Amino acid sequence: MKTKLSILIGLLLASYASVIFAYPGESIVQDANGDYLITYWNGAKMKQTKFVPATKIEPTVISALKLADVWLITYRYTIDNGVNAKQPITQIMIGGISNIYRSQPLVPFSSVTDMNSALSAFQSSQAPMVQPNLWNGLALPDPENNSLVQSSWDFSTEMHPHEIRIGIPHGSYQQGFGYDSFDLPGIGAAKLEGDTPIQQGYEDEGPSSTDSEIVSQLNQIESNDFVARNAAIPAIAIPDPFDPAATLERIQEHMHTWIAKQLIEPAFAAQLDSHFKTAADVYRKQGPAGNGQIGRMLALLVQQYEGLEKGDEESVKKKSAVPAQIDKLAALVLYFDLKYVMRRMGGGN
Amino acid sequence: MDTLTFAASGIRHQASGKNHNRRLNFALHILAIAIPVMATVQPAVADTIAATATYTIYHTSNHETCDNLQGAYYTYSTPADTLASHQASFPRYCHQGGILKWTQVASNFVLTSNTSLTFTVDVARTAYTAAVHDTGIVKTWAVFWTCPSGYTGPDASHMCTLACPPHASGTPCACDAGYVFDAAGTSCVAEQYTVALQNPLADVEPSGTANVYAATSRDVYAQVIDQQTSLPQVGAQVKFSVDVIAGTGGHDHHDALRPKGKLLDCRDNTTEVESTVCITQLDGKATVTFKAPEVSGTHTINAECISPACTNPASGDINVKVDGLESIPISPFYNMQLPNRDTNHPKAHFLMEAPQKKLETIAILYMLKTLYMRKQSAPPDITLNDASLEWGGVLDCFLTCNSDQYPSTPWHKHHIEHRRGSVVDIKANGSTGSIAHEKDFRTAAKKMGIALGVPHGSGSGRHYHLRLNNRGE
Ligand SMILES: [Zn+2]
Ligand SMILES: [Zn+2]
Repeated sequence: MKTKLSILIGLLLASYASVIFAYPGESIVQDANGDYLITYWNGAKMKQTKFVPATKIEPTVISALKLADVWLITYRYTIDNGVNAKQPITQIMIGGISNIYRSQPLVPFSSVTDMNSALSAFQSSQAPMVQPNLWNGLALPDPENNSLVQSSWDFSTEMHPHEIRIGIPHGSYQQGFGYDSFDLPGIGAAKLEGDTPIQQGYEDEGPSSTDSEIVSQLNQIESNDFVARNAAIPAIAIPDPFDPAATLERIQEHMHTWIAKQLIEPAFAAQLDSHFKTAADVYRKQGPAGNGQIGRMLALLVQQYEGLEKGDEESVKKKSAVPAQIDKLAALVLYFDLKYVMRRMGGGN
Repeated sequence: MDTLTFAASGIRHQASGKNHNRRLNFALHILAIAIPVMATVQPAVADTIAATATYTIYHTSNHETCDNLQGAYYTYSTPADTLASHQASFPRYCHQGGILKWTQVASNFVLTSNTSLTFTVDVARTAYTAAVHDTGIVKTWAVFWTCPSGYTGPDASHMCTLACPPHASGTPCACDAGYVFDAAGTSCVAEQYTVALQNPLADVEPSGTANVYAATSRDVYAQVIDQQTSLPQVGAQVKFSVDVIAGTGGHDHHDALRPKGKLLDCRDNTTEVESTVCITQLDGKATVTFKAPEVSGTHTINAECISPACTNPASGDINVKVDGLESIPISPFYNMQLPNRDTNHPKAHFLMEAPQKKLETIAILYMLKTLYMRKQSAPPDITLNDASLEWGGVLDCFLTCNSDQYPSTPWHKHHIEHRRGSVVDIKANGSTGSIAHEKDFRTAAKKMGIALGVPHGSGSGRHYHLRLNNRGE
């Protein structure tokens, strides 16, 4: 089972392949290059412009998780751009992160008053990030929810005008994006964008009516100007002090969000639920004895995928004999989370 | 038998001199001003007749001479005068020709109904033992019944009814429409009303953004109070009208075409009109709906009573404005084109707080990333042009942005958005101070969650139209 968040967006974009009429003569047409030709009424005349979206890419995000010292978890990503991509990938944004590890305190941009404080804020946002050469990583508040973190990496073509390799070109991949966190992984969305040219744009103020049908369509196109892929991201905070039962319940709660995303079969989720409950009960009553129950859950995952113990999506393979009841990345994440609890309770290796 | 014929003359009927200036007693009205009381009823006053009459008796007896009548006497009586027999003697006088003339001055008679006065003449000359008696009814008087001043009547029962004062009628008396009893309750005076407009009138947002994020219309009421009673007046007709005050809303220009707010016709609550007549309810309030125009500014709402009239019309101001806009602060991370070239709109750099913070972060991210890169101009190379007017609403710019391709006229939404303090234009025309590294600018904006479309404007007018709330408003 392989489900991508981009399905929704794909459907959305597919609908623009046909002509949409709004004001008489207004339309948005996607041409063979994937560009949008926008014909609009500016209040005085019919005009046309072109919008080149940043979605002409074929990204794959490969998540890798590793438990390091003092229970710190490293999150690493490899980004692949398909051979048929028309644009190199130049920006990756992963929002909805519960927390990331910072070795130095965060200086929020809201506190900036001058150039020096701006530099401090900028550096404190760069510091936690791991990025490949020539890429700029920044950890900023998630604009959709300021209590969460958005990690992003961008490749500045203007900063590196003489590079032959721009971003992640089609048919290639790039390793080395990442950050660390004490929070356990869940599944979130990575938004990826391709490199777009400088565009002339509207020669006026664009469509004249804010309630025009094409304006709302344009808003949809502009606000979805990325390709989304699933990624393992910090999503589950660890109780302090550590409590295996409470941690399991948080993992279970996150797992339930996968049902709607079709990352797990409901029947399999229900099967795991009973194990979650038993394991939490045993941890509460008998401490480390709960590890046995976790072992049974891990076995259910291992029945479907091999290589889960490596913590790297790249190494995980579906076992052909068994139908998958859980998405590959979800299996990897769940395996990691359960193993983490087991280790904190003295089990595993 | 002698026949005596009486012919009356000079009978005067007149109202007696009795005091008719009775003080009308309206005392009850003082206690219950609002409720007309029963008018007093009292008996009518009958005529008092001063019966002065001259009678001539034609003596027709052949065997009597005038002298013979000397010493004769007569009596008279009236039905009401039960004493009946008022005797008097004929004067010892006899007119030649056998005609006796005699004048009787009688007492005043108070008559209580139509009555007659009967004279009986006894001619009983001493010298003649055989008395001659002739009698006859000589006159019937009509009695005139009169009512005191201020009363009407009398009716068939000779009763008078207290007359209603001017501008009143009916039984009991009620003041005519538009009149009320005065404080003494004795007369009807024209009603006095005051009309007052709701105060204060809360702000309302200009209309015109595709999605309504705040109220763009508001109910406004005027209350009509009866000054005499201090009570709310139901059913009064109040005419509302609206006008816009020049020079408000950040527009330092004015003309007759300036869009102004409308009122919903009170008859259908749908049609948009400039004035409408609404009726007060039990609470004395007439309510009209004010609909904001797309252009912000202070509007004056007037309310005047059509019926009944009020002492003075009322008026109040309602601000059509987007609340919470703040002037974009000076920053080391961006420039602002100040003063604005468009002198009609000298202050067009207002934003809401959250979008302003977002803008500043984008500017910081952009500046720090591009600080050490080759630039066409010294940093900062983000120059803010128009954001919103201090009260938001349509930001027209006919002085500076009119072109053949895209004509611009006053009040016309040349800037289609820029109405709610979340949109700002950033110069991207290649000139000094415009964005030197557009891709990095786009990247920074996207990190802040801004969905960037293509730039707006061409040539020297090219700019990024940054929707900091990701919505057209
Ligand atoms: Zn103006
Ligand atoms: Zn604009």
